[in-house]
Amino acid sequence: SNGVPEVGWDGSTYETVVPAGETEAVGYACPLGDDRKPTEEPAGLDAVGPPALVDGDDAETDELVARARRLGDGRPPRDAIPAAEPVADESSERSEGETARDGSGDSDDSHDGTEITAEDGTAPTDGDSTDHTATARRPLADGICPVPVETYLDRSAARIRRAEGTTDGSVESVAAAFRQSHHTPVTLEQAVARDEAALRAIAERADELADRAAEADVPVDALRSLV
Amino acid sequence: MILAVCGGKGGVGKSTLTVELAAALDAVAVDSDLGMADLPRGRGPDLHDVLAGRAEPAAALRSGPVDLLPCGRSLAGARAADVGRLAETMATITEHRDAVLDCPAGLRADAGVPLAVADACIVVASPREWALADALRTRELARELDTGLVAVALNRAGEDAPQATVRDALGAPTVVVPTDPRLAESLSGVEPVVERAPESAPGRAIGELAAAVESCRPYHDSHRE
Repeated sequence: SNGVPEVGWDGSTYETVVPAGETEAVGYACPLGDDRKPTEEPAGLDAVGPPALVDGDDAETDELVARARRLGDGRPPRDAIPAAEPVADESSERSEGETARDGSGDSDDSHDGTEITAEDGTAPTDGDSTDHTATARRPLADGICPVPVETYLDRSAARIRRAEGTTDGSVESVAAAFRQSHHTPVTLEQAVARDEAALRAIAERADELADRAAEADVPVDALRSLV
Repeated sequence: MILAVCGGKGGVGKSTLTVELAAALDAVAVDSDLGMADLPRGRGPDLHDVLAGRAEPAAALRSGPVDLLPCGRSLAGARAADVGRLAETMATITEHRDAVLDCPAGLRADAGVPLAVADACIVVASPREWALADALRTRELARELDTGLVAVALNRAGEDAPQATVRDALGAPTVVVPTDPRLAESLSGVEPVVERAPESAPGRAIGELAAAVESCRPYHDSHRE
């Protein structure tokens, strides 16, 4: 309320960038007590040295990690993981049920980042939807469940493009493309066949869900008074 | 020392630069992108297993042209992994060795925790306009989590890369990393460009980024007798 705050002042601290080889002057005013001394220590030297790499202690790291966790869960949602196993509840999700089942069997696709079978016994949707019917939880063909859809479609498109490219171009260019891609002709063929099956299953399920979305009718007016 | 390689957008080249910087710094490259891992994986336990308590960190280390701690690819693995365990995992790994963390895109806990655990970061940006906004957001997140920005890597850049603009916007030295087909091979397990072609344009750019990191080591590290 007195004057215009300097850029870099956020109400309690001041931050600035000092270009290399230059100096920066900072002035401040602070209130005096009756004894003509500052009522609190206005400034102190906190750290001197190269920027960035000051060894924080463990407690500081823990506090920062806690702060980071408050940004929101970045994990795939529970209902993105198909229930190839009988459902388990939350407490057993992280127990032995997980052990041998990290779905990393498709080593040939590891560089494509193809998201492969995920076989843990996850509980059904946890409040994201109220529909627990069998059709809502039916896994896709072969238990292959794509990661966020757009990413999966992009990767699938890349594999299909690569397969289409094997009939264009010179022998050298096709051979070079295979050398760069970690696929052999056989594994590429298999991967694209899996794509076809998965994409057809996705299309079928997407159609079904779209039909249901079209039919679903929320009685907005009637419910308006409830929320 | 733990260095995070981050950037708000997917596809700007964080994984490639992680591997290259790990080579230049003689560090372990850690794939901490739990949901969309990119570093070569091979067989055996991975970071999903470590973060779910199924394996010790040392069991997941792989040696090669660059030593790696890779991550699993499955959704279930990503779901079961407790990213909060990354701090203790990294403390074990970095007892005698530096580490470079490949961070996920985005601004949630999966991106934040590696930044919180790291001592410093390099932001990877693409020269496109939209990428600069994402780089700014990532820079803000790093600042929130007390992780200093050492340098910006302006990746896949052509001749008219907006180096000065990016440097001024992000407030850090900005190194232009040119597009180069050799960099595309860094994730295949071949020798990194910075080792097999250090005098090439991309090799020198990686070297410049590594030098910026080295210049930020704490006094007690660099002044040790």
